[in-house]
Amino acid sequence: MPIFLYESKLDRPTSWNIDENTIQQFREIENYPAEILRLKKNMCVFHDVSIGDIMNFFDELARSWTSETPEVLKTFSFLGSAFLLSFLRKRNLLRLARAALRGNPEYMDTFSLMPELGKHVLAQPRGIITHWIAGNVLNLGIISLIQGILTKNANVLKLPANLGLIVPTVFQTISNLEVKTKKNTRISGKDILKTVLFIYCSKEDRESQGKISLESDSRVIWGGEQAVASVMSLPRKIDCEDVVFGPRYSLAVIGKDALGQDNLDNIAFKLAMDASMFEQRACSSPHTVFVETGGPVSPLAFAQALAHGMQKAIKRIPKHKTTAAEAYSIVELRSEHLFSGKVFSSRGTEWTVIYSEDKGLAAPCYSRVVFVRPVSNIEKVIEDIDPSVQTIGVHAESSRKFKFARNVMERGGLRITEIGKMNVYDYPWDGIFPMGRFVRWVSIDQ
Amino acid sequence: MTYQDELLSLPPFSWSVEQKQKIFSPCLKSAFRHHWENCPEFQFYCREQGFYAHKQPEKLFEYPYFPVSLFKTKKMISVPDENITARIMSSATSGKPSTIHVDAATARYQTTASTRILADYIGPHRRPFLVLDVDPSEVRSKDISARSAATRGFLIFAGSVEYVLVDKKDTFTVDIQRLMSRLREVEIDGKEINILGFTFILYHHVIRLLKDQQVRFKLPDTSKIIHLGGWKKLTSQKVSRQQFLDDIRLTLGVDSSRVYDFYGFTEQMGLVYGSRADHPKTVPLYAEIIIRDPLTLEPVRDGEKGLIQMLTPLPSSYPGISVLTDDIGRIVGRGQDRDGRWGAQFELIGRAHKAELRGCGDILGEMMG
Repeated sequence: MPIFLYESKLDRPTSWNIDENTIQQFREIENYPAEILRLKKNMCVFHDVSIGDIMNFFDELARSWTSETPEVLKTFSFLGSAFLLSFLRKRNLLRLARAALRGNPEYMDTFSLMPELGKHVLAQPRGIITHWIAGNVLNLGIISLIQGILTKNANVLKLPANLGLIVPTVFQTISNLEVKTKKNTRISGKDILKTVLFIYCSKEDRESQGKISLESDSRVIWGGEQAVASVMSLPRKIDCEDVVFGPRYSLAVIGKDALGQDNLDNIAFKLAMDASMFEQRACSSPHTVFVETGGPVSPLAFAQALAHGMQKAIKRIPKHKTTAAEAYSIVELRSEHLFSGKVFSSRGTEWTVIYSEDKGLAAPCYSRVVFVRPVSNIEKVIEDIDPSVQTIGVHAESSRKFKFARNVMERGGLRITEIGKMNVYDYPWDGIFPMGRFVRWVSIDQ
Repeated sequence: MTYQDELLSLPPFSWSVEQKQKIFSPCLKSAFRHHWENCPEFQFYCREQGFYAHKQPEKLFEYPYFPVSLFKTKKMISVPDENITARIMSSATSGKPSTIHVDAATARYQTTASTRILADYIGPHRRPFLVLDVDPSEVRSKDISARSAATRGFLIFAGSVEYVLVDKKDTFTVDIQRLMSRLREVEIDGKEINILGFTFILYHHVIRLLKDQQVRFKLPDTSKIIHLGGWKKLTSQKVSRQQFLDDIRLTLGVDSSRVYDFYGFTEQMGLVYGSRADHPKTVPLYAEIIIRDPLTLEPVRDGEKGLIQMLTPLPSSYPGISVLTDDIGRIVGRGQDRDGRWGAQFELIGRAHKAELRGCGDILGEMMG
């Protein structure tokens, strides 16, 4: 079976999925290593371009999406437009690059003195970064790609069949953009696109997947356990850098001392937004919320407030579809918990809040189903944390929050955020500073 | 005479939409009241959703429904425990199976319903059956597997029965040599034979095998192929319905017009929804279908797909009168079907994937490797 290369110029394909019809927008790659060789040669477009220039380019892209082509954001609003725009801003990119590149993004451009070592170092692009992206949270695919470009690598995106045409379609919109560089030359979207391949091959096609893997200097893998294991078992270069963003579980914890009638609606609404964004498919989406008992607001009262919040959130982030499988699972959960807890829900399957005195983390149902569980002390939640936990949204009195963080992260958990900010992509992500992993550090002794 | 007996005394496929509504709705109201009064779990469930016995819904789609999986986690009965004579268990291999508790009356309603419906499709006379299953006669238990209960309904029409699956240390295999020699005898004899089996077993372990080995039969013209249990495994093997029918004609010499597909589920045992060749399935008088939109859970317009809800007043020992299945379907007609039967016609499109991917035929298929 072949590897296909996306090369459509269509603004709007008939379907966002890659299927037997839409595959017509791809051409078959006859010789994948030769294609990669061409791609590597195109990395020369970055020779006279600084990382700052590339940041300016993406900053300009965000501006143009806002002012000149707002239809892009409208069409792809489900990607989380506001989030994507704020990610693309230069101040954000600079912040992330500083964190990942030893405090100085200019290491990407020229040998610069690293005072701690007393010598000059340069962050050299690794070469070919292949991103296996997942269909559930596509904006992470875009974010992954942008970080590969900022570090001046050539990037290959292995698209998922499900909604696989969205990322290349969104990214094509950079082709008309051109930005002046510091050296008074220009960097164009067309040039950047020459360093990116959007490819597709069947996930069952191990031979093609193996070819793709062997041509990668870094493999970035987004996906569930099966997808990650499948890519990890492919042949690879001996020094290939693997950056894995595997399956994660996220939750929220609310301390009794920080929740009162005055902030109940506000906290509940923020949590509702966290649980509504990306239809809970993101690894940072909360599924279970533990509410401490003994405070002015009972866990059951919180569940009720959360239900109001979910109803408000659906107006901000409308839900367009529930699959039959999700719908059945939701009806199933609601029915079971009618007998063992309290169920608050929309009339349809838009959102569900399930209050019960069950212990531990609830199995995720996705599709805006949140489980509220009472806990006598937030420290008790620690027992339920394992290394699969990613984000814990915590609303508790400050000193307790830090104590909780110190204890919890020994067992697992990678980020503690405020409630309302659980889905904000930030560094470190899954314990990783991705841009830092996309470079090789080279040095000259003084 | 109970309302179920009255309903079952009427032919299954002779009623227009309006006539059916007049007959069916009062029966469902009586059934709702019976379970409300006799099954505390049913009453609790209804109350929680704002339904009360004194204020019953006017329209069928307004009735509350259970997901079929609730019968896995809750024991729900509407008669005294000592009246229960059998438990029918679904075929889940992982997790808990659904269990329905049946008393003598419900068993009778189930048998009468399936007999009346099946007779309408395959005719009421007795004829020899070849069954692609193991002989259940050695299993004597109060617990009946849904698979065995499903096939048993057909065997009322059997003059003689031969089972052609053999149990070899928990792995079932088709005794293909025995089956082939039996089919040769039938071919020579020229008398009707009915082959009954689960869809996947029939195709994967018989039809495909005969096709690969280029063995061909021309079974007598009155012979029928009856299959049940769903298409999931065949769909995953990319076998279309047309190919299935073509291959049956090629290997057994049975025309698609004599190939019958029946759909049903444990939680409303006895109700079977039949189709011939590639026709849609038709809902008999004893049940009604509603297709619900996965997002709004409201009934969809005819032609649109969604989750299948089935209503029936027949079960009296357990409250399975309105259940939401994890099957996806669409209604394609309301009047008379192509064979002149009255009733809503629907197509089964598949099963909601995340739901337990198990049906009787698939389980048996798995046991056969």
